Amino acid sequence: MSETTEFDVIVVGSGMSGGWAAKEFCEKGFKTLVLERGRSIDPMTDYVGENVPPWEMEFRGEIHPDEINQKYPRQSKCYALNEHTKTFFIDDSENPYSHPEDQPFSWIRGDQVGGRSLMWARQTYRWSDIDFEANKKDGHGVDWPIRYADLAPWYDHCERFVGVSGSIENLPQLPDGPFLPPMEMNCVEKDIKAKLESAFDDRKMIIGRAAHLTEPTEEHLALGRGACQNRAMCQRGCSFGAFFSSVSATLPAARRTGNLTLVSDSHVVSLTYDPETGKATGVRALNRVTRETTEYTARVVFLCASALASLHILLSSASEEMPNGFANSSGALGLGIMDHHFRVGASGTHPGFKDRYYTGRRPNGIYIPRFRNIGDDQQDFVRGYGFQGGAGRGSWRSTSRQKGFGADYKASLRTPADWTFGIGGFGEMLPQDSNRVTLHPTKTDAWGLPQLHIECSLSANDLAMREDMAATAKAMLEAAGLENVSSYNADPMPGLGIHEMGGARMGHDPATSVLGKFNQCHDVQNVFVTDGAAMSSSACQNPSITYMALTARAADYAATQMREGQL
Amino acid sequence: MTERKPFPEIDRLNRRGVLRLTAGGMMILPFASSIAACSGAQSPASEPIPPHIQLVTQVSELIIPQTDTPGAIAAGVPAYIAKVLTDWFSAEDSEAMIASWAAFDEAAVEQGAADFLTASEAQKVAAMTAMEASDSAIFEDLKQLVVFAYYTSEAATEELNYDPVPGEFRACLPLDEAGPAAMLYGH
Repeated sequence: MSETTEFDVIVVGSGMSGGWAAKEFCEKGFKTLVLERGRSIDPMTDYVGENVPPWEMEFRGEIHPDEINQKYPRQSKCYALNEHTKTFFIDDSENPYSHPEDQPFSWIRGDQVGGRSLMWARQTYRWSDIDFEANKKDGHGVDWPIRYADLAPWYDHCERFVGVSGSIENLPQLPDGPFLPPMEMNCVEKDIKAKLESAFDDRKMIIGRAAHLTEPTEEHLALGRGACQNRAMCQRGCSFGAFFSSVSATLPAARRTGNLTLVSDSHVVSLTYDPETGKATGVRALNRVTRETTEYTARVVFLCASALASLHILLSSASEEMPNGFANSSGALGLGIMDHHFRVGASGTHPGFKDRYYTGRRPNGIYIPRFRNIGDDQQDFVRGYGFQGGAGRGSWRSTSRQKGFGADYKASLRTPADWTFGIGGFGEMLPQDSNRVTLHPTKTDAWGLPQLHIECSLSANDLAMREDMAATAKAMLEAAGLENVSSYNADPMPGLGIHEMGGARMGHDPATSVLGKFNQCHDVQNVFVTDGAAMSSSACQNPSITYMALTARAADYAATQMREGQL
Repeated sequence: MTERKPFPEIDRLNRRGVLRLTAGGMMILPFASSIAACSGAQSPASEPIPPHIQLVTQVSELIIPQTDTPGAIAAGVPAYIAKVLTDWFSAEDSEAMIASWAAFDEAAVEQGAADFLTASEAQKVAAMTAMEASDSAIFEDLKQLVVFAYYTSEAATEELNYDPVPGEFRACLPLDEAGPAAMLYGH
């Protein structure tokens, strides 16, 4: 093949993190190669489930059970998988992974340019020093080598470009940013907010901070992005570009520099390494269509393949010099994986506002930021959780359950159901080395490569937190005047939070961590890992914006080092 | 991606009874398809309409009748259910479901009719009322299938607020100003 295989920078993965690495390096003038294992995506032709009314879908939004069994037995545990969105989810039959029988793990994956940035739920919350200091304070995990001040300018940088709608709240545990106008709460949410905040002076209920363009800036419009249309069908693809994805934002920004080369269907199998220099030379990639292997070279490699996939690549890149996996002299590679534990919360009905309703489908809910173990609050568990939720009136799917049939029944379905309000917790999972990924000794995939083996379960601390989450959710809803309040605490099923992270943790000490303070491998200076794998703890906030900020910051550092001839 | 977006989820969780387990333990979702675009329950002219489709046709129109907006037949509900029976369910599950509809005949006999298809409209309504009063799962399953078929059909855009591209979110409106309940859910 005549195409060039030499670049300044190779970025593995084109999702949330990879898109940012691509944009930053391209804009700084570096010839950048992005390798994406999934297929290419053109919003004009590949958002096949968008703008299709239910009666034109073969199964009106549902996926046939045979197709679930064959292609999506694992992906179907994700709420967002349906007939409109299924082409964005990976085919489980071709992408096996392993876990112990008694430790089920749901690895929910995209398989296209843009990765899961096409299907994320767009919630965008900064971390604070409460989070970055947590490991040091309570001794779980290794101390983060950075603090909020290191990341704050990069949160600003990313949020402006992303476009994050939200309200300014001045909360120490949830720093504000340069937000677009917030979405609005409905009348029941406003009522509950008032009652909740008067009953609990340590708690706030705010509108969710979401990566939707409520009021696009010139910068957004210049990329062809437009305002959110309140369809709430985001995971079908949004040809308005109204929510942030790599496809709507970072990749177009990278492309317009002329410095981007994006190769899809290219599955990076391993890093290549030169023992003479002690540096990576590039990557080895398998083309999923032609089955050819290509070696690409670059001065710097950014792994942004998603936490577990990046770990898979690092573990698969063992060599004579690095027998335990790439850049793993610490032995910490693969250790300390986390997710957010959820599927715990409460819901109830609101007796009022029967004469009020709304139009449009706000693609966002409310957020109750963490209040546990901060300020004067002290629990018998460490760390904390936040709640996400919302109020709404169901339509025919709810009201059809009433008795009756005929003209009166049909007429009654024109009235929406009574208001319900629910909240669900997202809890911080402690970093524990017993939660880890390894290469399976015998099981292989379709390429003959070792499968990833995932061992992940909740700690006693996590489980104690869940008890509090359920009880507290119920107490809060009752205090807010809701009726028929019931709480739930379902099987947490690690992985289903789809915030899997950790395994190549950042730390001060090369003996106990894989990455340093700029996401740079301690052992191999020209390899950076800036997706979820870098996380040393999980906090309880949705992590994507933190991955983006870490990526942009690391790219800025690497670019400076390259210009100075250090890399 | 991803966390659950809660407020449409509340409704999804409320779809009790729609998620069921078959005898084999496989999860089934008894809704489906797109023949709704065809009108009514017409089979090709040369083929007689099978009795179970005649039953579905009659029951569905009694559940969602023609009013100032289309009823179940005009919305293509019977044709949709025919597709569900062939393309969604396994042959075994489909046969079991059709066989279960003998309960409609039994209920009609209770009302003094020979069977459901030949009963008077008053007898049919009385039979269905009695089935529902006794919490018949056979009745409820078919009712929910009819409801799903109807409210995902193009005809339902005349009945509820079909709003594919709302543009705005209007957060708090008087009910009569907001119009009828939403036809579409998110995701």
